[in-house]
Amino acid sequence: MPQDSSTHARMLQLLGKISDAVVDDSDIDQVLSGTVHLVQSMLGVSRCSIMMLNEESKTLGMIAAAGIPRRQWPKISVPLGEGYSGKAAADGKPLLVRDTKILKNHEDSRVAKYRSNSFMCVPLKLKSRVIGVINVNDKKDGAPFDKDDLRTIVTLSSFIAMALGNAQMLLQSEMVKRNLRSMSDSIYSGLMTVEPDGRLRFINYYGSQLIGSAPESLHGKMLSEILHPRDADQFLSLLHATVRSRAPQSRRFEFTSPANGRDIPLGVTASIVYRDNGEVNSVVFIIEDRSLHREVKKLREMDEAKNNFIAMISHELRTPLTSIKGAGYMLDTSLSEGLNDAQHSMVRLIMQNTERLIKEVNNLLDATYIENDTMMLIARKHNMDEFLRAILPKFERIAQNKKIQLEYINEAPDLVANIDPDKFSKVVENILDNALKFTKMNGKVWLRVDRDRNDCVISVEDTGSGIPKESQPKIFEKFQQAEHTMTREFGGSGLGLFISKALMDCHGGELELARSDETGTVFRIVLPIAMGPDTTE
Amino acid sequence: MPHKILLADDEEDIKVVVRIFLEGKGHEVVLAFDGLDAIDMARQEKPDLIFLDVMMPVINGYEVCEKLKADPATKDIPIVMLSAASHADSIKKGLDAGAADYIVKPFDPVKLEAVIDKILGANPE
Repeated sequence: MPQDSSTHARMLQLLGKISDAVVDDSDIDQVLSGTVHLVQSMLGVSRCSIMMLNEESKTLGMIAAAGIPRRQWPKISVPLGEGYSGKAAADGKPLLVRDTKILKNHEDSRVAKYRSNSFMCVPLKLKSRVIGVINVNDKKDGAPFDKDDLRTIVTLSSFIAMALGNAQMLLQSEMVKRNLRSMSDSIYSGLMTVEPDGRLRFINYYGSQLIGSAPESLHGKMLSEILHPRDADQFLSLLHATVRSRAPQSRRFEFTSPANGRDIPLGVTASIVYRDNGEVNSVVFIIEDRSLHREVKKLREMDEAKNNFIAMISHELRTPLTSIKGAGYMLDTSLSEGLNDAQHSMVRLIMQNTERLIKEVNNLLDATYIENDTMMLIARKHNMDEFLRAILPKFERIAQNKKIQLEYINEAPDLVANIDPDKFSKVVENILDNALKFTKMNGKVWLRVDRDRNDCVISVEDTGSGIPKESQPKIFEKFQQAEHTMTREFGGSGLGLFISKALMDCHGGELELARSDETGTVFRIVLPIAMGPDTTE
Repeated sequence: MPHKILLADDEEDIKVVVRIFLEGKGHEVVLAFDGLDAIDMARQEKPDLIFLDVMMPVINGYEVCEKLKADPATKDIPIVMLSAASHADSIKKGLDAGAADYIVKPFDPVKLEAVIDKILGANPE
């Protein structure tokens, strides 16, 4: 069907509108909507739609349509290669179906009321890459589409593709700009772009803080307008030196804040941003506040000194503790025959308190390793049942003394895990110790072992009074014990859970508080199960 | 047959305690007061086992261990490190130097007996 002159004029008008969208950044939605409606009225068709290809999900989604209500658009999604639109997009070739009735295996549209008798699907291509499809369905007068109609839509399609590509690019470059801006604002250094004549093009938040004004109020100003003259000279001479040598330059100088007159030691590095033709576009300054460096350096040194001191003290304490422990042991055993009851109980007292001191010293040392990230394990495969049975007797004695029932239930006695026996026993002992400590006389403590998929789960449950709700989130922090009154009553520095959790992290496992209320507390120690034979000695 | 044990430690009190304990168990104990002395004593006394402190003046326990392991006359004597340094790094270093075991201070004296049994075999009779 030949096109009449008014159709031709409208076609030109349409192309003009679309090319406008290509060259300027008018709203792409409006352009697409205008396009489909103009196609609809120009060709006298019942429906015209544009679908965009989502590269990730490989589906076409509707982004503009005339003759299909907007609320239907989200429901219309066509996988690449399926249906006529999907095929046109997958093959990158236009499709013209004059009459669906003569097609043998015609696939009806999914939405019954959008069935067509005659239609066209034309891929939208940008540099031979398909970015979407334009669909045109059913002339209102019932005539089938012909080659001329297809040609018109193919011509249109390249313009629409360009407009879409342009809009996408614009969106991306806007996003890149925005991302760069928020990134530059989040760094703890000044970042400033200056044109060769000394005009400030961009400054990030931290840089503007040094000057003492909002970034927006500084953009476009000359450096000599916004800085102390001496400082402006420093920056400009650094800029010129950088441009002259065409290599990055650094300088340190005392900077006077224009806002409050305070002197700040700065370290400034300048480097050039070139244009495509090799000319200097601008110079980027990275500005460091060196007073902060000094501060941070001092704090780091202090922290290191503290940690070294703790490590040194711990070692120094361990040597005399070795003699005390050894002497106490012998008084308590082989040499105890000559002691009366009172003397014997005094020896016991020395022994118990020596143990307590040793434990605290060890905790302090472990906490230091954890803080310095220097905790190391010597892990080997161990059968968990054997391992726990070896630990248990000590706690059975404590339980007996407190008249607490301690029950060990192992549902999976064959489980083997990679553990550092010394470190892992600290975790188990610490949790059991707490359970017994916070459970009253005639209470009960359960030590259970279970398999949960590829994990060995050791849970310790008690019938104690529970950890107060408000303290629960903080129990794994350093120097925390639920209540200060508890600390006084039961002793302990509050390092136990902090260390235990860190040790479980080192084991690739977890330590968690599963439940704690007035009926009791459950801690779960989770360890990955090791495959293969157990090498326990 | 009781064993002959060489104990090298610069800490006098620890030597007293360990000596009394091991003698109480029927062993013969010879003492060295630093690293160099330990090497001399090992060559002269030919002990069945050496308990060796790590942090000693002049030459430390790691070096003593390496030297004894390099000397054909002493290389077969099992060495057990005794040290307040408990970091896995220190333990590895001791075992890498050729020590048969590494005991962290403060230790239970029974642990010494257990290690002797493990390395030299229980019930010497």
